[in-house]
Amino acid sequence: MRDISIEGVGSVSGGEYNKISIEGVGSISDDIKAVEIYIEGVFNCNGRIESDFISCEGVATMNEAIRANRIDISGVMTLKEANLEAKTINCEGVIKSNAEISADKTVVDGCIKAAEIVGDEVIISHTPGRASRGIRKLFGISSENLSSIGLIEATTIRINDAKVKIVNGENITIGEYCEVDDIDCTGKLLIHPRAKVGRITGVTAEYSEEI
Amino acid sequence: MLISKKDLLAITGISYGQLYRWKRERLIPEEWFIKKSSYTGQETFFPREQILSRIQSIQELKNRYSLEELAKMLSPEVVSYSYDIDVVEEMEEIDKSLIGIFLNTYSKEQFTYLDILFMIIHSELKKELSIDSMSIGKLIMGVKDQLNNIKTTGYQYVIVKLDSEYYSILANDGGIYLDSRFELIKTVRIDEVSNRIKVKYNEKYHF
Repeated sequence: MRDISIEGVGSVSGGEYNKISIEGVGSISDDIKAVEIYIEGVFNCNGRIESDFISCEGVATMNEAIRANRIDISGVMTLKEANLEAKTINCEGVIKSNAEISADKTVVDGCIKAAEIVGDEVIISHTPGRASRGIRKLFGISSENLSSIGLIEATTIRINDAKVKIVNGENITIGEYCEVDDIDCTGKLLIHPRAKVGRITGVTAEYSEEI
Repeated sequence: MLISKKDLLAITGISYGQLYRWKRERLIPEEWFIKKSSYTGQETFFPREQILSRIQSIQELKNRYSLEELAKMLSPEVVSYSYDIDVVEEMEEIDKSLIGIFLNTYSKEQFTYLDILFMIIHSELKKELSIDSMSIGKLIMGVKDQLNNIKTTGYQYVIVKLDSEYYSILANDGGIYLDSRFELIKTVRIDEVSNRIKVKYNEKYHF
């Protein structure tokens, strides 16, 4: 299996590769299988991707389903009507998706806007800095959380600085800078007293500032 | 009949993590996740019997096989090999006294996986319902040509009776609504039979 690198403007044809590197402006219009994919430039993908490892430090737009063992995002990945499936997803950058993000473990210390995040463990751990909070207050943006998600459904969920419509899980921790409309919890539910939470079903919540 | 995702997890004791991992591994087909509007918004439901049966199979087998092997075994896709008469004669699930009828009806020497599944199904129908060999022969004749139209095991084989004669219907999805003059005798889920046979004979015949 070969390696391929796009440093200028180019496209990767469908097939199986060892390592794909996009440092320039690259595009794919067929299905791809690879061991490793590195995106440092701009990447437009119109084929399905199956890879062991995907790293996105650049800007990637995915229009077909992506499957990987591990995905690391420190740039921006946009998924349009395309599911993202992995064992582990680490995001320090931005993920925007109007489809399903499904992983055993999803860890976000950046920004995520998604229709659905599902799996075993979902951690959205960004805490807005003082300046960011000050600016939001100044502009009267009390509900402009960094991340916004339609549904989070996982065994263990720990979130902060996120606006979520529905959270369903077994062990749920809702941080201070959260707005959640509906929570259903079957195990343990811990909520920061200043979090904005609507309906709760399942267990009784415990409140603690030590989150 | 459908079961909600919430009820499914409560009844089976599986976690969200397991459910979604098995969906990613294609052990639970995406089509089984049925979204319906409810008063809380959108809720997900599953075909009840199929999902409960599938989860039971996964839980029983996951320590013996890798998730990838399980996905292959539980897939509704029909294997496209041909099997000869030796396989038919070796399988204990196929009634030896019916082999003559099978051979006459099929008039061929190589059998597809679906042919073998239906030989097993008819053998089990004969045993379970004490249906006579001649009636079994007519059922086999009746369904033989339809087997070419089926590409997966996602069907139900419905046995009905009218005026002492047995007839069959092959149906997929939705419900089956019979003229009340038919007496419903039995509904066989072909994928359940297939899963059972694949699990048992996976190593021997590579079903």
